[in-house]
Amino acid sequence: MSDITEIFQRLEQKSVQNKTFAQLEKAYSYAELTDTVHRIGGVFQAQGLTIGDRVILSSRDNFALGSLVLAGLRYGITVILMDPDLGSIRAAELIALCAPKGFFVDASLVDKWDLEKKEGFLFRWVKRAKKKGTLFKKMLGGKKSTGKGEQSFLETLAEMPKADFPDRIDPATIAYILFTSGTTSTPKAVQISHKALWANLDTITRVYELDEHSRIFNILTTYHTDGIMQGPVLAALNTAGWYHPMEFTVDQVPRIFDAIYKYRISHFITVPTMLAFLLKLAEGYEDSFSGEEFRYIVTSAAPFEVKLWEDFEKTFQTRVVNNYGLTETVVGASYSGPEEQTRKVGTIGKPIDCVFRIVDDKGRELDSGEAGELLIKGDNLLTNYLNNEEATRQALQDGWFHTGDIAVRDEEGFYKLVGRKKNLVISGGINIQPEEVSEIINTHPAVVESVCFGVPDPVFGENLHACVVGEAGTDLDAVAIIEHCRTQLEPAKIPKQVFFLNELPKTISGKIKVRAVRELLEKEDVADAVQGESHREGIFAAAAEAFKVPRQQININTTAENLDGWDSMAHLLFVTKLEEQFKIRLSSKEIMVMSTIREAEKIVSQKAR
Amino acid sequence: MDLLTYILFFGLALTLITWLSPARWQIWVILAGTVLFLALEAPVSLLILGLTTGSSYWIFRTSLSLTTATILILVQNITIFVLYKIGIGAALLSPVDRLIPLGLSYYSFRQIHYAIERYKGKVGPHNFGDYAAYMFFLPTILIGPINRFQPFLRNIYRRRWDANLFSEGLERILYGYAKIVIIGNFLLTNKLTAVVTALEGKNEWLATYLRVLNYTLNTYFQFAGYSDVAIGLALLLGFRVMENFNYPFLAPNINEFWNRWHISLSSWCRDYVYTPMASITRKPIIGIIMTMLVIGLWHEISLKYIIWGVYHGLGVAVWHLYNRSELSKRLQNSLPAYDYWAILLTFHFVLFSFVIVKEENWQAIVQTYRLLLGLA
Repeated sequence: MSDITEIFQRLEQKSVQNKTFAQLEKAYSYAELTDTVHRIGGVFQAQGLTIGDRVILSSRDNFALGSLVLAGLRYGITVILMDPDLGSIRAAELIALCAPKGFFVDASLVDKWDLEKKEGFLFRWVKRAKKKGTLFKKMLGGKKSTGKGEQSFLETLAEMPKADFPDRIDPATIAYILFTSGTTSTPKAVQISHKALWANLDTITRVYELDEHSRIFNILTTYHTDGIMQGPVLAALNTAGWYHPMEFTVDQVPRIFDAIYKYRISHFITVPTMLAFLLKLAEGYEDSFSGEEFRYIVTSAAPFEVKLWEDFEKTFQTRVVNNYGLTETVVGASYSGPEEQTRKVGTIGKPIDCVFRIVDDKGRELDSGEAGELLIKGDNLLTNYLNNEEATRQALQDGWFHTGDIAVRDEEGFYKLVGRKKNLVISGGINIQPEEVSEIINTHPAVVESVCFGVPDPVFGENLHACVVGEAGTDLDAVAIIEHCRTQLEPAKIPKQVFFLNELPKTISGKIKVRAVRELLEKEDVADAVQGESHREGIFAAAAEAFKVPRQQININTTAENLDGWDSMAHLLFVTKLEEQFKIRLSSKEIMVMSTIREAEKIVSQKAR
Repeated sequence: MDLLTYILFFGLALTLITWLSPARWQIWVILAGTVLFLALEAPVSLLILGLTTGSSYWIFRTSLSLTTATILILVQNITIFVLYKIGIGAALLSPVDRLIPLGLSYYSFRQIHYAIERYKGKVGPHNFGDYAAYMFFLPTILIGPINRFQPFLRNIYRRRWDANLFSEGLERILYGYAKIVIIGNFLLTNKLTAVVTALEGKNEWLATYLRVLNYTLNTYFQFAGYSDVAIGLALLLGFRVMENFNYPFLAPNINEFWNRWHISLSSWCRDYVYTPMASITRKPIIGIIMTMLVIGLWHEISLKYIIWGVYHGLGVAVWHLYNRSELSKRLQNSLPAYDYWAILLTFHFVLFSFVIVKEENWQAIVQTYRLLLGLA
C-alpha cells in the first residue's frame, strides 16, 4: 500500500520536479508544490503542531488548498476542510465540534466567521482576483505586492522557513476530516485515516489505469471528497497532473470541452449533473472525448440515470465509469466499468477491494433480487465520526458500514441502488439534509413552519423544494426566503423553489405529511413533461418524412450536420410539416435557428403552448 | 516576389514567432502579424477592416435592438462591398487604383455571418479580442475560406502545440503549391496553351473546347491551391478552418457541385440568402435563384455575372424538379453507367458557364458558344 513518505520521495525526484502538478488559473510544477509543502511545514513547526493535531483549511485558492492538504498528509497533521460558503452559525458549530489548533483561511473569512475570537492560531492570506491590464502594468514597472496584510498565499509563505519531513506517519493517523449530512440537522465530521485514504486511492489508480502520464480533469469543489481526493491528492500519488482551470458554470461548458482537448486530458472526474449540462450543450463538441490520450469519464457522488448514461455515451462516443462511494468510504467502493466484466449500465457495478452485503431491517442477509440496506466492509472505511459516538455506533457495526442506501444485487453480482433509508437529497452531487434547510428557514421571523424535500430533476438528479407557511399578515415571498438562506447556507443547499401554503398537511401525531406536499408539486411537473414528450414523437415523424430516413434514425441529438438527408430543401419541407402538424407559424428567424431536432422541439413546444 | 511566395514567407515567419511566444500572447501575435501585413500591403483594407470590425462588434453593445443592430451591420457591409465592387469606393479614395481592397470580399461576408449568428443567438460567450482575432486572421484574410466564427472561437480555446497538425499544415501547403505551380502554371498555362495554339486554324472546335477547358481547370487548380495554402498556414498556427473544395468536378449533379465548389461561399449563401428567402416566400425556387445571383455578384457586379448566376440558379432548380420526377428514376434504372454520364454532364454544364466569365465581351461569348456547338 502507498504511504505519504514514499509518495513525497517520488515527488522530490528530479524527473518529477519539472512536471505539472496543477493547471489552475496558472500552472504549478511539482517543484513549486514540494517547496510550498516544506514552508507550510515551517508554519506547523512554528505553531508547535505535532502529529494528529487538527487544523481547519478554508480558501477559494485551489493551489493553497491542494498544497495545504498534501502538507497536512506529509506532516501527519489532520486537515479539516471547511467550505468557505458556510454561514457563520454553521461554521461556529463545526469549529466547536472539531476544536482545531488553528486556521489556514482566506482573510475574508476571518470577519465572516469571527475567527479572531476563536482559540488557535490564524494563518491568513488574500485570494487575489485575476486582474486586467497586467501586461501594461508589468511594462510600466508596477509593483507586484499590494501592501501589508494584502499578501497572497505564496507571498505569505515565502517568509516562512522550510521544515524537514517526519520519518514516517502511522497509517492509523487521521488524514483528514470532511463533513457530511447525517440524519440530524448538524453535519457529521467524517475522520479518514491514512490507511483508508491510500488503500482507496491505490484501488482507484488500478481501476482507472492511472499512471505518471495521466492528466486528471477535475473541477468539482475541493470541499467534496471527489474534488479534493480525486484531484490534487490522486494526482500527487501518481505524479500525474491535476487540471482545474475554471470553476463550473453553465457558460463555461464550451471551455470545458476545449480544455479536455487542449490539455490532453486522460481522465475526467465529474458528477452526473455536470454530464447532463455537457449533454445539453453538446452540439459541435461531440468529438471532445475522442482524442487519443483520453481514457475515461468517471462519475460519482450521485445516482447516474440510465437515460443520461446512454445518451451521453451515444452522443460523445465514449464510455462513462459509474463510481459508487460516500465520504465515509474515501471515494469509491464499487465501479461499473471500465472493464467489460464489471460494467452494466444502470448499476453501480461491483465492489473492488471491499465487500458488500444487503441486509433487511433485522440485519439478516438478503438474497439477490431482494432490496435491503447496503453494508460495506473494507480498508477504505472511515475511522469514526469525530465527537459523535452515537452516530459512529449506528453507522459502524462489527466493521460493517451502514450506508443508508437501499440496494439490490442481481444474478450476475451487479448492485443497483433503488432508494435511500435516510431522508437525504442529493442535488448535483451535493448531499443535503432537508431538515438542516428547514431549520434555517424556520429561523426567519415571518415563518411559522416549513418543510423541505427532494424532487426528481433530469439535470441535478434531485432539486430541493421548500414549502413555507408564513405569519398571517406578513408580506413574505420566495426572494425573502432565499435571501435568508443565502446568509446561512452554502449555495448548493438553497432551495431551488419555494412554495407557500396556508398550512402544511399533518398526521394525527402532528408530523408533517411530506409525501402529500410532494405529490401536489410532482403532478404539475408530470403534466409539463408529458406535453414535451408528445411533441417529440410528432417532430421525429415529421423529420423522418422530410429527410427521407427511417424513423429510428432520428433522435433528439440529430442535427443538419450529422444527418445526410437534412439539406436546405428538405429543411423547408421539415418546417412546413411542423407548421401543418402543430398548427403553428414559424418565423424566418426560427426557421434559420432550427438546425437540430433539439432546437426544433424547443421552438415547437414554445409555439404550441 | 509573387504574392504566393510573399504570403508563404510572411506566414512561416509569423508561425515561428507565434509558437515561440508565451501561450497567452499567441493569439495577439497572430493579430499583430496580420495588421503588419495589411499595413505593408493594403493600408486601405486595414483601415476598412479595423473600422468595420469595431463597429460590427460594438453596435451590439449599444441600446439598439438586436434586429436594428443586425440590419445596420448588414447595411454597412453591403454598402461598402457594393461601392467597391462597382468601382465607386476605390474611385473615392484613389482615382487610379480601382482594385477592391485586399480581402474585402471575404471579411465583409465574415462580418455579416457574425452579425446574423448573433441575431440568431448562436454565438457563445466571447469578448472583443476573440472577435478581432477572428477578423484579423492572416491565413484566411486574402483568399478565404470564409470561415465561421464559432469553430474559430473554439479553436482559440482549444489550440495547443500538435506536431501532427503542424505536419498536416506543411503537407497542405505543399499540395497547394503543387496545384498552383505545377498543374496551374506549368501544365495548364504553359503546356496546354501551347497545344491549343498549335491546334488553332487546324481544328477550331477542339482548340476552342480545350481553351475553355484550360480556363475552367486553371481556375479550379489556382483557387483550390490558394485555399490549400490558406488552410495549411492556419494549421501551422494551430487552427483548423473549413475546407473550400471537395472534388467538385466529380459531382454527379449541379446541386452537388455547389456543395463541393467554393464551399465556404456556397454554404454562406445557403444559410444567409437561401434559407431566409425561402422561409419568407415559402418558394424554394426564389431562394435558389437569389442564392446563385448573390454568388455571381460576389465575384463581380456585372450583367455577365448576373446571367452566370441565373444560369446556375436555373440549373439547380431544374435538377431539383428532375430529381423528384419519374424520369429520373427511370433513367437511373435503365441507362448504363448512369453515374458517369451524370458526372460528365455536370462537368460540361459548369464548363459552359465558364465561357460567360472567360470571354471579354458578348460577341466573343456568342462566338465561343457557336464554335462549341458546331454552329460557326
